[in-house]
Amino acid sequence: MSKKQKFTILIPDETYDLFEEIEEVIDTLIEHYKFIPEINYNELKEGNEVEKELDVITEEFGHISQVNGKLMQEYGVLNFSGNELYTRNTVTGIKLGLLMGKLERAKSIWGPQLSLNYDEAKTLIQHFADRYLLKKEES
Amino acid sequence: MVTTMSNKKKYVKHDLTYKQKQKILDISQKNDLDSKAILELIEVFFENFSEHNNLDFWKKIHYFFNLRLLEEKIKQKTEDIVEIKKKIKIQKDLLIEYEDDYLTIIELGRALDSLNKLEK
Repeated sequence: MSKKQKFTILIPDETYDLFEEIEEVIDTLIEHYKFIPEINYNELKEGNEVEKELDVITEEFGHISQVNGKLMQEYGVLNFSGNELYTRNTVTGIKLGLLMGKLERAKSIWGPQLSLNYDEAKTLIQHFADRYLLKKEES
Repeated sequence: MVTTMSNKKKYVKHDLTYKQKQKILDISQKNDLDSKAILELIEVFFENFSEHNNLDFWKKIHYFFNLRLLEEKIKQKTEDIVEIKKKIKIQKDLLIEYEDDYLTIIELGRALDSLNKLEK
């Protein structure tokens, strides 16, 4: 924290005296700082009016949190399955290097006698190696 | 310490606590906002509040903050839901891709093993 920076504010005398715990008020203001410019000081709602609104909006928040929670859970399960399959493919992919070698050797021995597109197979093996062994893309 | 401004209104020069300073610096960093701007907001608030200056009015402010905070949280959750739905879609597509990749790797392996046997 910079020593030069001052964290001092001016509070009107009568307001300072109004609150027993001015620190709590300041804490609240810091917490809600971004709403301060939105305050319409002449049209603030009464407590009971806001309480009804708060009840409705709290219910909405509860519902939306539940929906979000269920989706998070679904994502968690899918992510777990995805990781399992990815790991399985990584384990399976370990022999890709050997297979690449075999492909090269087969090409040198059999050449065009086999109806196999060597380049395509090589690209495919390289793609799997990049994905599962070198992890060149986000899982 | 009490100080006076041009309109003869008296003011208390109040130092924030260490925790409050930390909190402001934290907000300032996270939101790329000058900490002085936050202090000014608070000062302007007290200036406006002093025109009403009673505890019932503070309660109204408090209710307003609670309401806005909840609205903000709902907005955030709604955005989270859109985001998580996108992630679910991506994850589902990935599952299909991983399954397809697995089958292809196995098939490729078998084909190359057969080739290897042919070599012998």
